[in-house]
Amino acid sequence: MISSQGQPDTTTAPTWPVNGTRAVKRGRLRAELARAARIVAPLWPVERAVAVNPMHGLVDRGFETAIAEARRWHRAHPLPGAPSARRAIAEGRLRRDELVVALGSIDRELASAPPIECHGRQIGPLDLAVADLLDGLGPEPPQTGPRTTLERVEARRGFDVSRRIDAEVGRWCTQLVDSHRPSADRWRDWRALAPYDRRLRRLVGRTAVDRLAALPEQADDAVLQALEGLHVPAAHWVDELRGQLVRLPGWAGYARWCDDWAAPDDPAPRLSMIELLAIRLTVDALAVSALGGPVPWDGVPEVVETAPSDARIDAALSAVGVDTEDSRAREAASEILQRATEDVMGRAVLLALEAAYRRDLLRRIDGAGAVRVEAPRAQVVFCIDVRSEGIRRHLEAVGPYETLGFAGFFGAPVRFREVAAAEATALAPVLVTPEIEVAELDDPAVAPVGTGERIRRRDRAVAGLDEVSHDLMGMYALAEVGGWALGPIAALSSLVPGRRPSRTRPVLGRVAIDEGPDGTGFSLDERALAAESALRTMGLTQGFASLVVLCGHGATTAANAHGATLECGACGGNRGRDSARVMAAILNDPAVRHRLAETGIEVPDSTWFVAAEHDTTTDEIHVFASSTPVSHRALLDEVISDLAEAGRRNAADRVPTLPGVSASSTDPVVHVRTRARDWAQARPEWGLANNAAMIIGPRSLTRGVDLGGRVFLHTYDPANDGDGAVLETILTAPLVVAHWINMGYYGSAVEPRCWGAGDKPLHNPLPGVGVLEGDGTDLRPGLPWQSVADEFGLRHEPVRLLALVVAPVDRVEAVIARNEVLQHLFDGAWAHLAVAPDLRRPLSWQRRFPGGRWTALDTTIDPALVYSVS
Amino acid sequence: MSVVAALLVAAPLVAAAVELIARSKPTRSGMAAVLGASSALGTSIVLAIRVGLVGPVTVGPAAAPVVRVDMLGAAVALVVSFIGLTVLTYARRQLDGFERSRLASAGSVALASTLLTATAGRLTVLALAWIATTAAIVAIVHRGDVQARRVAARRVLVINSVGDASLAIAALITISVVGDVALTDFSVVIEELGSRTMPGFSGLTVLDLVAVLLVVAALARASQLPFRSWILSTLAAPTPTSALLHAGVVNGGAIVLLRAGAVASSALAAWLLALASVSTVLVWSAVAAARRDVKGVLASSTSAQMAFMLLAVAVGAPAAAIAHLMGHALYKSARFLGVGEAIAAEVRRRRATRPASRGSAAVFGLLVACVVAASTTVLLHDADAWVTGSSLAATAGLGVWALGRRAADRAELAWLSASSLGVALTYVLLAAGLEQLSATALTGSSTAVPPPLALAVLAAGLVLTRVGLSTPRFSARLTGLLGGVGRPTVPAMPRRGTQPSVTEPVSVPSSLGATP
Repeated sequence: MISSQGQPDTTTAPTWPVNGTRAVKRGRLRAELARAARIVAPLWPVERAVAVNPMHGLVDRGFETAIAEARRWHRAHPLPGAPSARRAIAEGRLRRDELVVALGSIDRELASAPPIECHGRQIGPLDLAVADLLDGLGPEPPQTGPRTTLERVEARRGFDVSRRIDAEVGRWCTQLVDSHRPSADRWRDWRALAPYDRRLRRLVGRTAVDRLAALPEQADDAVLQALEGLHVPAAHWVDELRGQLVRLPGWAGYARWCDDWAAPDDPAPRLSMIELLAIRLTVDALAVSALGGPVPWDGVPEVVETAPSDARIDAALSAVGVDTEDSRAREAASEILQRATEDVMGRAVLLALEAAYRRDLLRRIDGAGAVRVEAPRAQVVFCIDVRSEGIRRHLEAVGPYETLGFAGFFGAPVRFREVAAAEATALAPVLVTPEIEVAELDDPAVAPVGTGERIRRRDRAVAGLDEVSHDLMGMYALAEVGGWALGPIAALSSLVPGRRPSRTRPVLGRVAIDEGPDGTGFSLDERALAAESALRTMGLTQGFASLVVLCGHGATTAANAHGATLECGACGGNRGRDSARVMAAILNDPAVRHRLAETGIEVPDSTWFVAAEHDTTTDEIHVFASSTPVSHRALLDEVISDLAEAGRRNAADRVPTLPGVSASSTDPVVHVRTRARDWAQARPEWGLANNAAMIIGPRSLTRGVDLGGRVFLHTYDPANDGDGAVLETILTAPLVVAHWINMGYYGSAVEPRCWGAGDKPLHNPLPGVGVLEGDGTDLRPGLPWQSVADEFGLRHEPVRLLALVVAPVDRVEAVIARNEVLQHLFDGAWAHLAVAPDLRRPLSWQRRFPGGRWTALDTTIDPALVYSVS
Repeated sequence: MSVVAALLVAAPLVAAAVELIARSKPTRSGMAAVLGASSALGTSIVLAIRVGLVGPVTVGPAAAPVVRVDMLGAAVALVVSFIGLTVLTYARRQLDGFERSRLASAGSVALASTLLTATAGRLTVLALAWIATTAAIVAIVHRGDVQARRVAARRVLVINSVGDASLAIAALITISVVGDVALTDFSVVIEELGSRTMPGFSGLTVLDLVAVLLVVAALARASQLPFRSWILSTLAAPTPTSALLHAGVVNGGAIVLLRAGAVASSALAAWLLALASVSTVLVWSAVAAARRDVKGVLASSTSAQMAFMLLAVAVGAPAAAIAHLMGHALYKSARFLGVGEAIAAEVRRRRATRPASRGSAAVFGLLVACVVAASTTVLLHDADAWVTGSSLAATAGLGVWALGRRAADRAELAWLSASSLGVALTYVLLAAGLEQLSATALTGSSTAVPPPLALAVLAAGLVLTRVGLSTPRFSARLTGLLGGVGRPTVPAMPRRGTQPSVTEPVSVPSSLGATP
């Protein structure tokens, strides 16, 4: 039959032969790709960056296997090294002998190796290994075998072309993944441009380029063709694909996000894994044939430990004061150091740091003992973010306040549309896809009507000028004329720091939670459900104060491409104020309160919910209370001034820890406000650096104790949760998010080269997509080096999350048994878990080991017993 | 007053020396550089006032001064030291340890040498300042432990050495014929050199040779064709470094040509310069339009902007060139320093989008362009009118079109058109003032290349490229052709059977290599 246009339908008739085997192969490829893709973690567009476990795809395999795979495929150094240990020792958090004990607990064979005898002295094998790590040259990184067919060929020919292919493929991605002109099919577009690319011609040869014309139309067919051309046996497809992906971890991560995480209507430009692989493998196959054809596969890349060098042995021996000429001592040392690999020493450092921190934290908690506040002036709910810990502590010191910790989206996952915005923002943890859209409407009580439209006009004008600045003919005079406006502003921003406009847009209206005519808003049922689950999860079902403040957080920064990493992760890398405003509006709704009363939560009429936001860079707390009734105004004013005082104290706490603060006379409040809006500042704040633990329990467990801004605090009252439903919510959502953040920082700290975003002053943004570094072409994942380190080294101590839960052991175990994600987390040793059944002091902590073995955790005894290989 | 003029160059030099001595304490570095740049800025303000009210200021013997600050020198010194101060203040807060101390010292040297290039009184000083600038750029860019920085520094050195050699040879020829004369007496040089024919080339004079050598030097410094782009490879260095290079150092090319006025008197040199600059504009503006990474766009467009400025020199529009130099320098430094804002700007752009487009925007754009073009012909003269008029009319017209398509209603469109027109006309007035000032300061301008011809060729090329980039059939070809321009060289694949030499060491991708 001829179609109505009189044309045969060409779109469904590929030129590549489709037969049974081809279809089977495609299916198989899809399955293998799904396996291979797990070697890279998804990478979100940088304007809503969230911290992700860089080994996220391997989470079900356990930490041990994941770091081995990271070492094998990413050639990563996935464990903390000597600098972290040295810094912890120098700052008194860790003792050298603890490191020795930790090492002994990891490698018993090393511990029992014969000591070195010299001039009547005996040097223990563990002491030598630790001296080698801290004072000597330290373990050498292992050698990794080739990962892709091309690498195998290169290893034989001694010519490195893979690195150049990485650079070119990355460059093509920067051209094809374009937020202004999104390409519908990157493979098709690449096929169109590749024959004209002179660099490709140089890379693989002119004759090879001629073969580009014959490439299949479908990306997956191209991958299959290339795999065949490379003679990769079907059993090793997955390895070849893995090897290809880890060579461009940034783009692979971005493609992983597009494939598996992006909402279908997301405006971000797309790239799929299969397209990336089609381009890469095609070029690889051309290069291999230009180099004389593939070499046979010989299994997955091996990680080979190298024998200790003479220099390392010399340095280690002289560090322990042994004559380096003594051949017997050298031989013994060589054997010991051969065992003290990067892996073994890294584990020792990790376990020692974790044990030292655990001991310190539990001791601090033991020191707490404040009683419950009887008649709080107000209840203030903060985000679980580690930065809330400081401000909560200070607020409680300022006045009789009860503070709570809860995920910063306050249980209302919404798509929020600001006044006069063309696009809504998803305000929810990335694990949740919000469906309800809430609009912000003009409100003359907040801002003059039309302000939003004016801002939008200005933004449109800026976008228009930006277009002209890219234009072939428009750019010349624009630069010439624009310079006279921009130049002086730039000088002012540099000379008088703190004046640069930030990316924050002011609040311009009120939130409309009701169902609107355009399908936005919540239904009453949805509102009541959200309100109830939020109150129950935060444990606020009775004893309401007359003022309850929901305090989200955001971070004001200027010219910061990674600004989203400082914002609220529970709000999808956005500011937290709008989520707080939505939930406060819901909870103040009389109809919702009526429904709540039916479910047993009596919110007194005298209670009023107010939204607020803690600006973590400036330590200002903004309160959004334009609709507060007159009856609460006086109280609110008092609370506002207390919040401001708490903010001032928190700033004073933080300023000495910030780099570049020389004069002690600097007013901390002025300093943090200036710093936040300083466009030259690479470290506006420390963010979540040094996060280490999460405490799930009543605030009375920790009230009055300085936890150093290292702890996520989630409120939980075990007495009101007989069936464990609330605990299940907390463990499966906020705890998982905390683990992501924790491992995100961990990865960027231990392996900045492949899991970190690199050096901030070198960043080259690719708007709407991500950040490149210098003249590199691969996207950079994770956090910038400046977010985890100061001038002198790592500021973030890379440890795995320690979860402390106040709940009966069997309730926790039952929740774990019901949830695979928690089994992965705790059985896979991605995080540590300790549980205290109640608050009776001394607290009796039970520590969980993989497999569900629980043992008492006694901090008063020798730390040696606290170690255990997990 | 000559003490003040000497201070202009001496202050950043002293600062560089202090920074160099203090580099063992990198955490404290940067302050001396900021003070040095501040003194340079203060000095250039004083000098500009003095030059404007009284006349040029000189240091050294009056016949052949070491430093001579005239209107051109004062204007360039003002802009360059202003940018130097902005960048060095920024760098002191952004960079850590080694990198900060490096930029503070080498950046101060680059600042001092650029200032000296702009205010040199005689040929030897100009040549020395020029060579010192090359050394300073190499010192800022190079970093032994980062492969990309080593490659970039090597490229900077190779390309600029060609320029340095050309300038040195030109200076030697001139000195051997007429001696180390003051740059103000260049008319003597031109007469003397112009009267001697090149042995073996009957049609050419020695002046032609010298002028061509100067053009080669300018092309190298301004990162122009036929040289590869050294300015793009310096993206491997931190943001403040880029700001300093793109806004300060690259301007040396135009300054030396304006100073010597040699192009004005050699038709061969003028035509060569016009040819090189037109092709550079075409290639590099297309590259800038095809790229999306913010620094890549900024760096590619620097080459194009410099080319446009050199074209102004070639067609005899020195005032237009100076105006472009100053405006572009301010613009580029600001855009580089604010590079981190691009991510948030993209979010704002998406949220402010309005899907409907307005056809009337094109009409308004055309109208505004015509008015701007007409008013420049009235207010500016000859070549200046051609150069400034065409670029300003294009920008105003395209600007109204780009903004107007996004406008909500006709009132907004009208308002946008009116304000664009207002800005453009104000700028024409400013340019007219600058033209008046520079008329007194410059030796003469070229008349060999007719401006309408050069601009018509340029416009035709740009329109073709623009159409090509937006036509699917050609855009793939163009993207393929342009995509890799300016990136590090790709070595060719070894032929089968040959055993190539050793693998290059795997580079650490950033400056992090040394830290953890």
